[in-house]
Amino acid sequence: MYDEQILVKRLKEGDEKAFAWLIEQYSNMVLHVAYGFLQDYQEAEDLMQEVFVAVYENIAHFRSESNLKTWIYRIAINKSLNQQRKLKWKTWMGSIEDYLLWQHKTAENTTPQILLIHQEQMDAIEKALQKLPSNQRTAFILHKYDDLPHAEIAKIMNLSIPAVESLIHRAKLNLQKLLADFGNKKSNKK
Amino acid sequence: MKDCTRKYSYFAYLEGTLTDSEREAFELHLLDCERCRENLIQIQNFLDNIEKHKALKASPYTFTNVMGRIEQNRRAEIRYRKWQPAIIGLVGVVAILTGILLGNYFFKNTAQLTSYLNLNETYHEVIELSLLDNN
Repeated sequence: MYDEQILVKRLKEGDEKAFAWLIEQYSNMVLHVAYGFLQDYQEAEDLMQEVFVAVYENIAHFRSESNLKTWIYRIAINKSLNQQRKLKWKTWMGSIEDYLLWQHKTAENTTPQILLIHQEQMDAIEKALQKLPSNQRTAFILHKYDDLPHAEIAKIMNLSIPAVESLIHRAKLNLQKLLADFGNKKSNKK
Repeated sequence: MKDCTRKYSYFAYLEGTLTDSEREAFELHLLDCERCRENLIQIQNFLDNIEKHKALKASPYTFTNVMGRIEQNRRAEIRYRKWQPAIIGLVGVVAILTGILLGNYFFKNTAQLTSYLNLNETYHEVIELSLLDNN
């Protein structure tokens, strides 16, 4: 267990053991945030590794104005938003590939209809999250995927606690509208 | 058609944060509204999906993979620094050659233009001389 100041000092000195400890502590946290944005495990895993590369390469510039965890979260969020913009136009291709990979991995007795319903649900969730404004999406993902309290989300996003509560509330209202619209379109097709 | 998503918060109901009276009113409404029942299932699926993915774990090889990437970045940086003087030199040579070619092109065109002007002046001189001769 490292004290934060000692950890930062050791990281700046290039101590690999300290860096390994950091990765062990925060890799799942970063993975959940990345998954919340990208909705794809491979992409999230890739991005998580990129985040830690960025932490390693930029630790010299870390000024302890915020704590290390907040700084890592901010790097993860920025990289996730950038990656999401890059993937925007490839999303529909990715969902077909995911469907084929997912089909290959599932149990033998799963019917094609169940696979299709699952894939449609995944698409709806991904699309609904992507349609949210980026600040609502960020606040919702930190709240739901990482179970962060509002105070911590406020520090990460540099906002007041009431502002974060408002963002999460509006995100939920928008999501239920978007998911309900998806459900309505599906029942109209029947 | 009434938009129930504006009136009721499905998230609040599923998260158990409604007051008793709000919950009872919503449950009464659910008895009559098929659309709301369907919407509730959608939101429940959404929340179940989130819970499922909270169990995601990073690969045990994350540290090795990250150090591999850092090493790759370092090698790319060294390669770039090794070739940087050559690249800058090459860019400089191309810029100079381009400048020479462009300058040569414009110089030729200017010389041609000047020779046309000279011919016109000579033409005028001949006329004047001939006038002088007649007199």
